[in-house]
Amino acid sequence: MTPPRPTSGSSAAPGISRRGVLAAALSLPVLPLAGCALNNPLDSRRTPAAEAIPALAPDVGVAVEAVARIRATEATLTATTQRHAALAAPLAGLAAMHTAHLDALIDAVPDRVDTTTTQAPSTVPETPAAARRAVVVAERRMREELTELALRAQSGLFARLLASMVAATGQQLAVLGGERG
Amino acid sequence: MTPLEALQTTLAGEHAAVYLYGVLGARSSMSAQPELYELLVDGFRTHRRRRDELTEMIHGRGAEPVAAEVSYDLPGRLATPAQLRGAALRVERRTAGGYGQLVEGTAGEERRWALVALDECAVRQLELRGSPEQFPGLTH
Repeated sequence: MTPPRPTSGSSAAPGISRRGVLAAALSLPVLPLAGCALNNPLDSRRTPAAEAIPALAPDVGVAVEAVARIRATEATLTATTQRHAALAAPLAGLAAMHTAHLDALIDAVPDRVDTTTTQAPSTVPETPAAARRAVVVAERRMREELTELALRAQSGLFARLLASMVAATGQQLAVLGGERG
Repeated sequence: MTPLEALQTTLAGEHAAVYLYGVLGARSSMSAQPELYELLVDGFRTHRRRRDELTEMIHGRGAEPVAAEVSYDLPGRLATPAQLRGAALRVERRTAGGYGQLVEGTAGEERRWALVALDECAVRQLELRGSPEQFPGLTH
């Protein structure tokens, strides 16, 4: 932590940059994926991608899952704003956050892993209020999933990056109206 | 950094946060700025609770928790409500960075505890009129 400087003694630890976290994530070893028809790791443990993930370096698997979870949530958000244009503005912060988080994670995912979601898109509720609630539910679920991934991560730096994403989502949900869950 | 060192560093930060929130609360007015006063009092109680929990965690590892400094430098002028709020916001940002560091340096239940603390710090920043960040706790 970098506490305010005491009037005597005690040094402050330096903060870290996001670039530093990513550099650490990118330095993780990646096992070869030859022969794997990788697709969506969200589907289930039975898909080729899901079976391949445990064989990857542990945190690469965590990164792949995180990207897939965020993309699935982002898809819900996009479908919602396409159906209810009036929600685009209040949900813009979440959309920008997802983009930033995906940008931060994507380089940690091996090129051959396709993290696009193949889950059937959830039906967007008819009313804006219900659609907004559905987005909140999806974001809360993603938060819980990212929390568990942060706990699984073996790299402390990578865990910190995921924890930061959890906290950022909490902020966005608070902005939406105290619906952090 | 070992987990124990991460806990000790975080505790040092909480000692500072408790001190500063105490000063900020003392300089605010319960009658003139009741909302701000409540925020500062709540912040003081939250950081005091976390300080005590960190102290217990360190004792649980058989180590001696780092002691608080006698006093800390105050962050500039603390005369107006905006200055008090801004100072509290800076405390929360620093503390969030500390909990990010604790996430990094720990695992298991200690990491989970740090995750929750980081999350609380991030939301408190909004209560202090901070803006949402894409990566709270990563760089401060």
